[in-house]
Amino acid sequence: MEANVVRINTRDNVAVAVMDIKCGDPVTGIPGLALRAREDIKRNHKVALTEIRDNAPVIKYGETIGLASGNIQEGEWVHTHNLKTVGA
Amino acid sequence: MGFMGFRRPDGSWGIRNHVLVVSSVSCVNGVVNAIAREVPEVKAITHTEGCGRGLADVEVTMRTLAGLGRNPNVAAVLIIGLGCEFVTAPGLVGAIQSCGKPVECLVLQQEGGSKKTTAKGVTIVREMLAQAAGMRREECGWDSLVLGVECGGSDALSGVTANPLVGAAADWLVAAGGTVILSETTEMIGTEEILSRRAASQEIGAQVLKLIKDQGRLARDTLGPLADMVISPGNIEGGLSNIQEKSLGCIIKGGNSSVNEVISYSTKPSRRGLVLMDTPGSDIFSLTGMAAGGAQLMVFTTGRGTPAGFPIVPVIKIASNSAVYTLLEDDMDLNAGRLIEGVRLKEGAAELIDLIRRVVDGYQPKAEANLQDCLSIHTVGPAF
Repeated sequence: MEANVVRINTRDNVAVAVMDIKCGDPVTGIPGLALRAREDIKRNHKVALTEIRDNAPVIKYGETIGLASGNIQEGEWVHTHNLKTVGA
Repeated sequence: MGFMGFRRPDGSWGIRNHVLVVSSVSCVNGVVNAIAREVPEVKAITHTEGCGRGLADVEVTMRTLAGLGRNPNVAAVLIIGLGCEFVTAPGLVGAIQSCGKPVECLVLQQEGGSKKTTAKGVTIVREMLAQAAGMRREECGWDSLVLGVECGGSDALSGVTANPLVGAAADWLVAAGGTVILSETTEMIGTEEILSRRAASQEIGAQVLKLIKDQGRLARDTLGPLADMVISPGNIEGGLSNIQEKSLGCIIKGGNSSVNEVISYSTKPSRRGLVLMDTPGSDIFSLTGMAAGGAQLMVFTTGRGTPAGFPIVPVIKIASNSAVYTLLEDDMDLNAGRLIEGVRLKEGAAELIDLIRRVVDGYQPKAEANLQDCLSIHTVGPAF
């Protein structure tokens, strides 16, 4: 099946959509991981690969890019509405 | 096993064997160009600097031009001077000759004008070229290679495909004992904590913090309201949530190694491994700084597409997406866009490393073959 996301670092808990993903579509391209999008994910935006608890780090490039502001379910869109920036 | 390079008297190894003709001041660019027209095998280095600047900028110009002359890819250097400039030709000779390669200068006001200087220069570079042609490649180790990494004309995929690909190659080179220069301080803003945590010592960590924080302040002071453009509404619309995420997409091209040194513009690293150089994000200033710091090879990712190369350093161009690769195929060497079309990062990285091996041994990437030679010296003060 064609990959619709890229996970940059194996430690990442978010992946980048490389095409528009519709709510309910399977998230594909990461070996050993099966999940579905819980909402529409626009191309180049991030999708949560696991549950990310409130205040837990959102990890991309193997590094913390921010903290979850509220619980994020796997398959949810992750962006400024549910990610808070730290130390900027 | 390493690569086949040209051994220089100072123990460095070139991957090219260029003879340079350099103007010490922009007033004699015409002479440099005239020599290069007559002897197209030389590399002409012309620029806008050399006089009419404050001392700090004179020093940067001097360090940059001397660094280009000292670059291991250079076999011999002819400096053309005017005679009344700040950055003098004999001064540059002095700054280059300690590395042991042939370096000469001609001062126009002493030689009797542009035609006589050109004629004499042609004779000198022909002799230098003949001598360089007698040099043979010998085997040397990867610890002799300094790779500069650059991204320019980026798009949303640069940080997803092309930069992680270059980062994987950077990690490979560092593991093999080589050096990687990560530049573009502006594009590190937001990652100061991450990069300083990766520093090899506390002292280097403090230097990393200061470097990036100072650049952040400079951006705010200089750009005013435009400083917000470092992370623009368009970036956020495009899926980047904050400056950390955006900058991580830039610095990933340096890989994940520890940061072993922080160096100023156009300065040679004194340590191996991953090194940060303070340069603007603007591509040509950055390429010039890394080349003057001794990089023999550069890898340059682009999403929008730029053909820019550098006169004495081969530049491998990597497209972040298939559309720009196809559109600019004459200028692109590798298509990282395939990483979202089923090619794994590991496979892509192996391909890039193979290309690096071929380029260091003499294969010409597109920017080099097309003579896309760009050079700008990063001066900061006013001209007088």
